[in-house]
Amino acid sequence: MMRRNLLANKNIIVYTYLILISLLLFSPLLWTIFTSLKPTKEIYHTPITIFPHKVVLDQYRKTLWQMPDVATYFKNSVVITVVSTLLVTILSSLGGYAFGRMKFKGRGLFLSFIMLTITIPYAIYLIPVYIMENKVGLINTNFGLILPYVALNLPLAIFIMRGTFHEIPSEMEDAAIVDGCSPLQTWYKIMLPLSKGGVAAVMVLTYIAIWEEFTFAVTLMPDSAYQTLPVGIKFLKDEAQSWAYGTLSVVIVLYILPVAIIFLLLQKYLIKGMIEGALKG
Amino acid sequence: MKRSKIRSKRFKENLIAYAFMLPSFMFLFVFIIYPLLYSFYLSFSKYDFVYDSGPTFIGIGNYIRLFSDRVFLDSLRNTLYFSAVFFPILIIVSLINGVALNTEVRGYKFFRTIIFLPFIVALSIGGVMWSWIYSEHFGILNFILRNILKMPQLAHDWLTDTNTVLNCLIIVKLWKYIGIVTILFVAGLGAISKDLYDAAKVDGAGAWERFVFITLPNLRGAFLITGVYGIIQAVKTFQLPFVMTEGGPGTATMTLYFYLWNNAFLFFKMGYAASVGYFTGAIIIVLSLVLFKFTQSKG
Repeated sequence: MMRRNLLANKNIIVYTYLILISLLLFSPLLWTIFTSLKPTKEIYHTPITIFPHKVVLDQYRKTLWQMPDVATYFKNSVVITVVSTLLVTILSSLGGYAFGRMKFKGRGLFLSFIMLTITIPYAIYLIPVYIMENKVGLINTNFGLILPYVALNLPLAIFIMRGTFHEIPSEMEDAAIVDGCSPLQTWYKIMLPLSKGGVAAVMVLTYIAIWEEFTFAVTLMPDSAYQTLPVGIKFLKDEAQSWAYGTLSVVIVLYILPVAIIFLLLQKYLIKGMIEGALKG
Repeated sequence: MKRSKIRSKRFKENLIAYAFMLPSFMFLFVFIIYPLLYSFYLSFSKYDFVYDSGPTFIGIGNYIRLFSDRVFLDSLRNTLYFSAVFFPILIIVSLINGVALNTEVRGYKFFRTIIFLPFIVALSIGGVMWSWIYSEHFGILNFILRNILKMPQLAHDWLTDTNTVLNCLIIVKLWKYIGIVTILFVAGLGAISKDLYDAAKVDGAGAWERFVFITLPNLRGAFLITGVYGIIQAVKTFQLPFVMTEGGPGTATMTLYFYLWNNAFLFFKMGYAASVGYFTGAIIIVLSLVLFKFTQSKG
């Protein structure tokens, strides 16, 4: 009897805490969504309101019809993120296969190099990359941003794919080799279908990392027409001073929507990938 | 005869492995290995990107100059302050979250998702969001202070006050990163064997004792990972001052990383910027090593 009371008390404390911390962390997002649904008059009215008195889509209409920059930023973000993510996925599942299944000279060296690159600040690479791209004319091109994005996201991706391939039992691979498959065929026909979980983890991790990247984007894309959403929003904010939080919150919602959908659908793989990347390193 | 056959087989295996890695390696070489070495050289050079045709080697001149540069010293102080406040709060709150989620009460997955959600918001986007929350007249923070908590004396313009502005940025960064560090702690907690707790219970250990003598020592690995991650995130503060305050007011939110970027891409002093970069990298490595020693010695 007492034991049950104790247990109930413990649960009440845990629930109270979880509800409080969730509210605290979720409220900024809620506040942004509420702001995006208010008419401008209500947004700039004191005392302010928390819940919209009248839900209207004015801000959405204004952002979508009267702010062509937003559509450009969104499109740039989509193109750059999708292409980079695909490249990282393909390259890392090739490279990870070598690390996970093959013995070769210099394997240990490569691995410690990969770990090193994960800890070094991005900006150290950025200066030479900028100088290089300036020389060959890659500044303000999608290509000029995609190439370094692929490189920056490869080390962790290779690391995850290495772990995934490593766990596959070797009978499958041996059977393929006996059947006369070339290494590339073995990789493509046998090993890749068996490592879907790892591929999903790499894709969702890379997608989130590139969708939010700021430092490289703001440097290698100085012109507004080429910017991505995380950088573009800074310029939208500056342009409007502090008088456009209605439309800015729509931009924020537009930014969060695709990545939230991907996150909710692939949460399992994302968390698995992160834990593998972090805990096994 | 046989030996050379084995050798050629091994050679062939090596070759296949290298072929699988070659595409990745090319990317890593051009965009990571070469830049790493080149910017190390740059940090010992004078290179004004607008006027100079190339870098000139000047020895450790840049590194000496750092310590007479007022803005650099301010950025260093701000970065260390940021880390000193950000780091312990990040670890403690995330650990509490982890312990709460690890009870696996009904619906814990829902809470886990909510706690993790801010992580998918870019810092620059989060920065814009929070600028609005901190806004003097129309922000919700001052509204809560004035109208709900009835403490109007606390309400003010958060981002132009040198005393509060850096703390405001720390809160945004905590908001984003608590979720992922929580998840890492959940993984660490889940890996601790239940038998240990049962044995301790039999020996009459209370909840607090079990936490101190079983949970904490067994989380050593998790502390190291979350710690290094937290240090990297703290020292790399860049987007928030860029988006929210532009380093101001004055140099109140100038961080090493932001100062590095300003030197490189606003003033185009590539050599000097590279030396700030390597100095920043050194701070991360030193702090990580201190943490490593600390987690090894305890318990």
